[in-house]
Amino acid sequence: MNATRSAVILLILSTLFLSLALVSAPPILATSEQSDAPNEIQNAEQQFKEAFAAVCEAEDAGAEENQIAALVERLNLALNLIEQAKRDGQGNSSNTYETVAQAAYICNQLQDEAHQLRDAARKSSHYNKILVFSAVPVAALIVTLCVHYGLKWWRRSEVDHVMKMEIKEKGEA
Amino acid sequence: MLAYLAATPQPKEQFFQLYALGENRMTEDYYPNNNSTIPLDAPVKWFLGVTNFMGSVEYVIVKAKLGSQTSQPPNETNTTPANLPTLIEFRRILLDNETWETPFTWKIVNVETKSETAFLTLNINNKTITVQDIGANNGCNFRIIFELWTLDEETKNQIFGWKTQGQRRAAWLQIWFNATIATT
Repeated sequence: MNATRSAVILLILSTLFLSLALVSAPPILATSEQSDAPNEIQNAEQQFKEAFAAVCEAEDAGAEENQIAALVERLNLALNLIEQAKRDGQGNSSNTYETVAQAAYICNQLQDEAHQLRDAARKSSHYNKILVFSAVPVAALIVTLCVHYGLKWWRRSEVDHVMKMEIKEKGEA
Repeated sequence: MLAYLAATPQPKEQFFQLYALGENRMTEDYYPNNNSTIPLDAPVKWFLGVTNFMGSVEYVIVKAKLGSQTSQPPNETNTTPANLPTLIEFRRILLDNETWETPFTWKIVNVETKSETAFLTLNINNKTITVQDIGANNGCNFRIIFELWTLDEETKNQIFGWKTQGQRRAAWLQIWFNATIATT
């Protein structure tokens, strides 16, 4: 008896959840294409996201603009290939597989190149920091010496100026 | 210290610009013969544009949705997108200060009327889409909503709008139109 009651309650609850899910779901859209992306496309999209993240890291590390622009151009190429694969079909045709494989290959390549660029930029930035930190005390020393000797010369010239003064009678000049 | 402050660039405002232009790439001629009531099979050409002012490379997605007068539009205050079906989406990686434009060509290929409510089948950039749940009374006051989405760097998920200085911002726009219903 208890088991039957539990089963009925469970059935009511699951019906309730199911209807709630249906009500809150966005309106139905029927397209001439199916929206279920096959695994290959999903994998390519994941690789694309990783490549994009790697490019962002390279940019944050201070890579040059033209190098980033070249990577972004190829990222967009990979993105277009993924979109094309989605449009062509659901990954069933060999053409779609080829397109997806090409996109994945570009993404992998980009990821490696972006990592290399990031490392190079970090290294360059590190050397720049060392250069700046070592140049600052040297510059400060030069400035201090210049100011010191400049002031000394100015004082001496002032003293010389006073020493060279002559007393003249008024109206003599 | 002063030299450091002078050399440090001032933080600039980070934002995106989203716009739609008519068939002549201007803010006019959005409808064929300047009539917002679109006949069946009449091609409508718009251009969608996005400019990135975020100061870094960004992944942008523009989603086009079909709504009616009663549909809830996106909410900028709490950055919630419209709960409507996405007809088509455009994705692009944008450099800082880069503008990207893409054509948005569409036409109404079929109008199905059920008790004075019109339901549309659209063809957008050669993709045919039937929207079964969005109808408009006598075909009046349909709208195409364009939402700007980005890829969140932290979660790696698509988000409506973008994050800047710990806050969410959103950009969207809509263009209204009527569908011509064939009279019997």
